[in-house]
Amino acid sequence: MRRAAWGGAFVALIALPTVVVNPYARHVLLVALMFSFVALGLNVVLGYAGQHAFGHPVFFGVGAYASALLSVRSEWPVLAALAGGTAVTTLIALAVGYPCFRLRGIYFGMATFAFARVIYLVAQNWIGLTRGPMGIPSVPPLELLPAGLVPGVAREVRLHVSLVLLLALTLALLHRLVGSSVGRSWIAIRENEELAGSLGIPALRYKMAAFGVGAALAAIGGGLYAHYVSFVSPSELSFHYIGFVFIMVVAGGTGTLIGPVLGGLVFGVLPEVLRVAEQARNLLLGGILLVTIACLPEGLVGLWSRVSSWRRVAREDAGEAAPDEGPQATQYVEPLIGAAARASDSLEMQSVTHRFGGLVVLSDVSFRVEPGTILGLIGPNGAGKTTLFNIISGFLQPTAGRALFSGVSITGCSPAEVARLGIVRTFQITSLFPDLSVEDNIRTATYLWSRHGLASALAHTPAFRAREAEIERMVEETLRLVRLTSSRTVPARALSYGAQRGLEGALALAPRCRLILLDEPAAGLNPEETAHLREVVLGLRARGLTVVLIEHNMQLVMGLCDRIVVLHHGEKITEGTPQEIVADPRVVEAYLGSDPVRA
Amino acid sequence: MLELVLQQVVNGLLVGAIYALMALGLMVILGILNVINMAQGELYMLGGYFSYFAITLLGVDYFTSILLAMVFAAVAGVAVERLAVRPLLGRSVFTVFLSTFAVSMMLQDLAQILWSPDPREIPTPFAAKPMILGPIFLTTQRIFIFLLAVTTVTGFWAFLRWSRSGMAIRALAKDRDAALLMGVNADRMHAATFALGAALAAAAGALLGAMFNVYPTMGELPLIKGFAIVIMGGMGSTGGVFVAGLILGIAEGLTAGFFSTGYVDMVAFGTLIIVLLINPRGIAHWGRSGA
Repeated sequence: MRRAAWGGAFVALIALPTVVVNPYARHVLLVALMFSFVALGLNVVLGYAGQHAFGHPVFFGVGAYASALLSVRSEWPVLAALAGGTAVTTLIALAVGYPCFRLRGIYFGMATFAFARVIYLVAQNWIGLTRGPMGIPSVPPLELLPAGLVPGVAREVRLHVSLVLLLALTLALLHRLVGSSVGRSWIAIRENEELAGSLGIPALRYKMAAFGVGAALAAIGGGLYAHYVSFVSPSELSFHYIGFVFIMVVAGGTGTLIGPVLGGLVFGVLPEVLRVAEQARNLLLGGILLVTIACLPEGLVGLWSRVSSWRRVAREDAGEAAPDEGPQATQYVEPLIGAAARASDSLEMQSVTHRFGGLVVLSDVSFRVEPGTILGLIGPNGAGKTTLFNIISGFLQPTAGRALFSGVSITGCSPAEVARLGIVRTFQITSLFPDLSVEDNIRTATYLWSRHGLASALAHTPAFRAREAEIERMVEETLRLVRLTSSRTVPARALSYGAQRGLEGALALAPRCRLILLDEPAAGLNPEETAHLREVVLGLRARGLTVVLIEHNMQLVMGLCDRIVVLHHGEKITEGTPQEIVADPRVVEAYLGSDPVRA
Repeated sequence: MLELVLQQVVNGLLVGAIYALMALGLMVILGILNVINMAQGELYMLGGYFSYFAITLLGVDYFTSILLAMVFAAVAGVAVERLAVRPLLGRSVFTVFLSTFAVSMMLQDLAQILWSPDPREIPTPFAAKPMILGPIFLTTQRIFIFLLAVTTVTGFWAFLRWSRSGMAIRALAKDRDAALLMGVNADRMHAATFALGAALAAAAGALLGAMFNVYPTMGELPLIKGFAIVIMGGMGSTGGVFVAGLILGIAEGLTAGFFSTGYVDMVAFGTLIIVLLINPRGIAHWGRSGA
């Protein structure tokens, strides 16, 4: 059904010149097709990786210049110049992106925008290379399908067909990319970069990849455009084009595959249609953008998904799933646990100290967690428990001291590196990918063992398919364990609080780590949910995993933990088995205050 | 040599003071509403045109025309807020950025349609004859414009510091929720913020427009330079932004004098990139991080 719709759209698009015979209309259509590539490029950066790179569409112009210069100055054949120009543009983009990604949010956006203006000014002023404002005339014309191959077909039609084919190929490859761990990582970074890091996804590398892929697509569009109109000038690098590409993506639908193409076609053709009102073109375009943003937040594709979601709701109402019964926690099925903990997997704190300014949050804390045990970390609020988790998981660097895992220092590692060593954490304030479905949340969390190279994702190699099948088994098992099977397609944001905590637990299991840090997992759970949590944690230990948990529910802590470490005002006041801890007067003092007579 | 340096520094100070006005308008809107107002350049342009029409149609003097321009632009600013910002309450920073960008496109086009793309000269009462102060040439117009810019910045600072509305605005910028709980009327303050930002932009447009003519696309570069200054000067600091504006103006003047006028605009972006790259952490703390 979906496939048929895609195929139909493809055939309709490729056959368009049979209906559109006016040469000018054909020209407009060709330009719109070229802009679709640029829009797809921005969409990778903006829509999938969620990076507000205000200046990114400048790579359309950079690609146009690169390809034009290669073919005019170095006299490369057109196709080689296109490929070379794309490569050069990607390299420039990576060089621009790397420093910019030190920033976040709007500051990142403004930095890319500043770079875009610098590139524009260079093109204006580096007369020796670019001829400045005069631009580069007589760029060799574009010929993707040689005339000899399909005799008797007009040049525009040949171009049209080859562009549609190229666009379809690009879409197919993007589709595979987005469906692979690469795309999942992009979306994870967009949704919750902190959580992505703690699941082992190296954010910088994936942001750079998105920036590069996006620039390559923009450069393809730009190169095609330069050869097609056989002229490049600095205006292709200007404000105007940058804004225009943003309109295409946003009005078409960010973060969807087809949205930018739709936006590219509609908003590529629209300005020409609006030529009837030549003077008021930007007035109308701006108005359309304004209305689209206000009324169609998901863009043009939102129209379609709205219709189809009504239909889906109607279908799902028919067969309601039975409530989930979790498996017995002891019946673990293999996919859940990858490598069982090794005997050497001990976590060790060595004199860890942390200060925020003058405030000492942790002072000389040392303890050791034996592999395959459960350690409880307790203490009154403000004792430094979460700070300690942040230090172990790489979110904070200690002022002094270090943390060792399997005898290797993990101090100085990024959260992603710590995760790769086998440690995963949950957060005190529930941290999920809110707009992804429950199952996509879990799929994303399998990153550490399910990631694969770009090439195998694009080629769908047997190894890749086997991996994807394994991910699906993992998703099934984890869903059953946390009793979320019936809400698998629900966005995480829409789950109840208890279910969200459950999903968070699933995210900690999916990476198959050997050490799990749980930050107040029972907070806000009802007694039944707490009992289930207890079962799950005991099951993890039974399989040889190591668990460290921060918890205020003393009944749970005492019943669950092998050893307990008590923190108070940043210092370890005692450590021992639950029985020893309960009997320790210092613990009572920390919680209740000393000497009831004086207090 | 020294004369040229001095001359360029003085020229730069003039332009820089006006850039600072532009930047303060952007800053107050960014700080309070967390909105990157892309239409600010067009409010600047409207300021220039309003001043021009006030003089040519109403026959008022240049000084009054600036005040009128600020008032009219403030009304336009409130309209922009109602049209492009308020309906998007709760949507991402980026969405609002785009919607103000749409307004910017529309206003620019509207100006081209209504007033043609041709530049117009604001008639000012100042003698064209330059004054010569030692090695430096100055016109009375430039001195007057500089003083006005400084006065406006001071007025803005005093307003934020001492007026009741100014206090409400600062409270909103510091801690939005607490301010709302204390009874600050967010709706009215958002409109007031836009009015204030627009008035500052209009003052800048009327002042710089008198030096370099008014035309529909005149707001594009001051907008981007204004942002550069906001980020360089440190979000939230009137003094910091003013100084950053002056520095940028001087740097541009020196670039024009000693390097090439073609690269003048590069200074702002180059400096912005360098500042961002040297101390991204510090900068991230200046503003509420957007997303």
